Amino acid sequence: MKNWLNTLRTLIWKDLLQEWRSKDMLTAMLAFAILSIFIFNYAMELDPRQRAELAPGILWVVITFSGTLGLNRSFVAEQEQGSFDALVMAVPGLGSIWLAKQISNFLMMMILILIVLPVYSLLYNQNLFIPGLMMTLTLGAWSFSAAGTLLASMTAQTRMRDLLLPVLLFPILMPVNMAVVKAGTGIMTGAAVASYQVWLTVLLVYGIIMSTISLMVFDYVILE
Amino acid sequence: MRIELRGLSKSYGRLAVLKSCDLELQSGQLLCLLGSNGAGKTTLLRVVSGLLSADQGGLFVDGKETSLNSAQWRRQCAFVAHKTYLYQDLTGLENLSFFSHLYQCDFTQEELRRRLGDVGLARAADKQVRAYSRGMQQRLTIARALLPEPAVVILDEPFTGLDKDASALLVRMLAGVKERGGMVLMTSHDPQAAISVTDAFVRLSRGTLTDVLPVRGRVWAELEPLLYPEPTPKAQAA
Repeated sequence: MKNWLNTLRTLIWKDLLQEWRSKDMLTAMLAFAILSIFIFNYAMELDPRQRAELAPGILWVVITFSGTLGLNRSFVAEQEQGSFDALVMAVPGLGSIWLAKQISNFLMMMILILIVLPVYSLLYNQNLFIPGLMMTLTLGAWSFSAAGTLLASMTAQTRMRDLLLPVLLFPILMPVNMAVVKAGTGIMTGAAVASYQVWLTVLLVYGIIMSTISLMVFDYVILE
Repeated sequence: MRIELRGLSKSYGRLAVLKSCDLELQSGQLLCLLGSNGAGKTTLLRVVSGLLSADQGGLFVDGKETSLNSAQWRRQCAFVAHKTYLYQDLTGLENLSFFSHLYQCDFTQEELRRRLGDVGLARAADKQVRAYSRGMQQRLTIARALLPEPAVVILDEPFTGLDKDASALLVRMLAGVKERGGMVLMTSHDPQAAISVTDAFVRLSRGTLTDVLPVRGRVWAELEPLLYPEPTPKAQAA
């Protein structure tokens, strides 16, 4: 177990160092996210109540679309010089490759969220740093990166990966999209906790199930 | 240690790439696979290294059946392929340090620098791999592959892109692997380059291992006509 955790830590360190040097993922994600928020801002004239109702939806659209761009880039380093094979041969358990990549992708998503929220708050004059909303977005980001990392590892080996990933990912993410938007709207409009609690449970359960399935099938996905 | 591959078969859809291949390799031995493009050499190497599942056949290590797809087997193998398997944004030293941690070797920085020095990259240790020439990357690839002292070293066209010095270095390193009891399986379109350390040539033709030619101290001039016989008039006409 200790070896497995050391391997995991080494893989995450490599992903973060690689990203720190290249800034491949974050640049693409942030540029897309901030431009999208500007477009939404100019495209929709909203009164304060509408803003509260629509903010979680707009935010989540921006985050998932930007996140998909990031996921597409997350296996580039492994594909560039075939180092994925070297990883497969070196690690004691293939699941650690998936989990490390998933955690790295989740951290990127959280950095994206932490940058997007103040920009959105500034443009729409609306405070989004609400603990409940932060928790909802965090759970959503975990589920998104769990499903997305597995699919990205599959599509990374194909020629049409940029197109294939969103086509496969978005239908699978439907429960997450619904849960984030419903729970987020409930939180923003000050609804009773009981009215959106079920959506938070959906997010939590989805994240656990998707992470477990991904860990179980990753060996098969890679070796076949 | 002795490994036997028995009845290995692999197909991509309806295309049979490997057809019931049998191969035997012992400690301290180097086998060089020969075959034309598309003969199935790379597929055979990937199956042996556990990177690709075989449709049929098995691996026996010292007579005991072992799964080709187990992490335990993969970690005993090192693979040098056409691609370098290196991270371009990391330095040479960081690449070695990263793989050293994955293999739980945990070499010190001094030891890793010494390894880089062994392949002539001491002065480039702290440069990002992106700035390395093709030959330097190939040297680093070899250092990376041999880092955990693997039992089986698998090389796919290792002499491609290497200059004379680097080729000589690779031959020395392969001799070192044999000396410490490791085994080497490689493909090469330039079999003469490693003749001094090769124990036998194995020919692969359309997915079938056809014949084995032991070197037995023979020089290249004696081996060449045996490896590349003059085509018969009938074959030429075909």
